[in-house]
Amino acid sequence: MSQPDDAEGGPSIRLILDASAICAFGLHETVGEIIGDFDGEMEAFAVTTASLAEALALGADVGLVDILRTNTNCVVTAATFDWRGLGRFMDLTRPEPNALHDLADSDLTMLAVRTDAFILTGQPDRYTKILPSVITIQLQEPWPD
Amino acid sequence: MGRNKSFYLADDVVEYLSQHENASAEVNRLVRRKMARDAEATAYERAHGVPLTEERRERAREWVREQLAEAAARAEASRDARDEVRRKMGWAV
Repeated sequence: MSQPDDAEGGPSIRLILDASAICAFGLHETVGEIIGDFDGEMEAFAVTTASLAEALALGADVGLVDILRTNTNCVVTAATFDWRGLGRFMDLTRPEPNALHDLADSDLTMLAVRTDAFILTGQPDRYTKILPSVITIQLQEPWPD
Repeated sequence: MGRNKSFYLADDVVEYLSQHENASAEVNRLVRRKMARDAEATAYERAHGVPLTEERRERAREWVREQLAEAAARAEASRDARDEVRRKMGWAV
């Protein structure tokens, strides 16, 4: 388990997979290829523990999830580990005075901004509604055979 | 966590690994990459009923190249907005 600050001198996180991207590993060829792009020693992709849990709840194959998260270039970050920072971030990005965005989505968005990484997702608006300037890559629908 | 295991390695493999400061880490990296590709291919064929061919992988690689380049361009264009958030959060900009 790592945190963004642990990566000082280690690989930099360039891409974050949300639950929909984790679920798409093995279903669409682009996920395997995009994580294969971070095969060097200085670049990594990340998943949060909340995204892993959501992916399992959505029916992701446990064996595939394990292979994904134990990939040498995968950084698993503990959602809400930096709860003070997350609290500030959620306050900063609140949609209206008496409302907050979803905690897990805020955590993932904060990780993306902190590491300057892209988010691979089937639902970009989950993150762009929290912070319009966060960079998402829309998952492809499976190509026809 | 792990274990010591002995394997016969061909001379060229030994030579390749000797170029790495941490040969064990390199072996783990390469084997895990192969495991991921094999697991992905098995799952893909199970889901779609057709093999994950090199042609399909190449089409995906092309998509990845385009998407990463396009995302990098968007990131550059909106860098100031994210830097402003980083400043407010007290992170290095």
